[in-house]
Amino acid sequence: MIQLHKVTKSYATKKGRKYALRDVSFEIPTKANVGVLGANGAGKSTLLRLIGKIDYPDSGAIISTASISWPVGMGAYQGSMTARENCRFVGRIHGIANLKELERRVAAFADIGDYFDMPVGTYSSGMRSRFSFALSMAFDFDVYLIDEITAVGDRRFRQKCSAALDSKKKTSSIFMVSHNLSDLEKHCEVGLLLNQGKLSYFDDIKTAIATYKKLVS
Amino acid sequence: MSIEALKTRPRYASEVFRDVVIALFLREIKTRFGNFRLGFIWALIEPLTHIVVFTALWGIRGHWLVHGVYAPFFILTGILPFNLFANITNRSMTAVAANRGLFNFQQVRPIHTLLARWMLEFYVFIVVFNCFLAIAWWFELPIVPENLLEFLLALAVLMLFSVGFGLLACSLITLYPETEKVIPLLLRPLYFVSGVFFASITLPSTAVSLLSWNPIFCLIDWMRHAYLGLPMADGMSISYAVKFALILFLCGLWSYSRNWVRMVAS
Repeated sequence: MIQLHKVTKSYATKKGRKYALRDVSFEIPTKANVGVLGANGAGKSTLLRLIGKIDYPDSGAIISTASISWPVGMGAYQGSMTARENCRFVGRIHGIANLKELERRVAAFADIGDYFDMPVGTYSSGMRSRFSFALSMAFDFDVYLIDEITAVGDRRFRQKCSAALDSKKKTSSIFMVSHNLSDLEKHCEVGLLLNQGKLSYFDDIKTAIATYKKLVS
Repeated sequence: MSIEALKTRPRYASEVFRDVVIALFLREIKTRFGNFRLGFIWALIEPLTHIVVFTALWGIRGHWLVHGVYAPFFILTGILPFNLFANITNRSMTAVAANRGLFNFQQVRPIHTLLARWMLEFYVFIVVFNCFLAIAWWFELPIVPENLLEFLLALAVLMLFSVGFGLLACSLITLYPETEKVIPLLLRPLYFVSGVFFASITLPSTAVSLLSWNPIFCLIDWMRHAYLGLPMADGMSISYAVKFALILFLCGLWSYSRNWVRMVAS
């Protein structure tokens, strides 16, 4: 369970203060896979960052006992370092004792050959997402945060990703933000709709999508 | 095909803190010395140029001794502490921008990146200092410190001062990005008034009364006093420098604690 207790998060813009969340108290289930919907700029990514403890509310508290991933495929690498070095860094900060084994598994999954020992900055965007996806999958988190799975790599790798994500879902749950409604429908069971600082919960992702469609049209 | 995840063991907050700082420290070493093969040689050459230039300038006038201390050794004990301060300041100012991507990991916060950078600068100082001591020893210069404990104490105060200043600069840049240009501009003249190539005992008393307001000058003078046994001129105050460093450090911590959330928010 991830508890939001009177959470407010806002940004100062030229046209005044804009609220992503306004005094929201809510319990997000961690047993089900959650899809988050909302118009552009409604604050979906902000909500994801708040839950991932990489950003903080203006007031209120977010309490969770679950282990939460970093946003999958986001900033998990440093351009001047090789994939192997990045891998070791992320392993170290997560307290992995066997770094060699971590490297081996990530290299096997990412399947980028000799590029594994080249600076990540020299990668094509496809290779970069292969690496960062492989890295996220090598850890065991209770909740995976996903901000827009963009199509990763070629068809074969996309299938591999999809399979990996499906097997992850047996032990972990997913908290996903996306504009791609079919992605949300495929991976999530319950929906959250974020609109003007308010969060509404839907038992079924399909009703959430329907409500969202009505809202934006 | 799927990937089998590695188990992580539960850690105390202090263990996470340590793991993150160590990981960042190793990363800093790589990015600082890895790409640039001459990285470490450069850390030696840079102070060496100061030593050579001033030794040559004085040598032309036939002065090889500064108040009984060999000129190269005199410069060495000024330039290395000054560089320690300047490097810590510069590296603190860029720590947040350079590591912004890493704040996507909830474990990594600005303080970890700052600590890792301070540790690296301190480590570089110790290694470079010992390299120069070895060279001086080879040329049969007297290298044994007059009072090692006092020297280490002065070094600790210099670290406190630099770290405090670094924290303050880091917070200032977060609040007012334009200060990133201003602070280096203000720091440049410091090189000429911080006792890199003079000590309080070699100055006329009017200059001492003016320069003794500069805490970095006091600290460097104190370090020379402890290491080389040079007397400090009347009007130089160690307690002033220590109090200054402590207050600056507390101000730094205070401003960091108020502003670190702003640093991670992109």
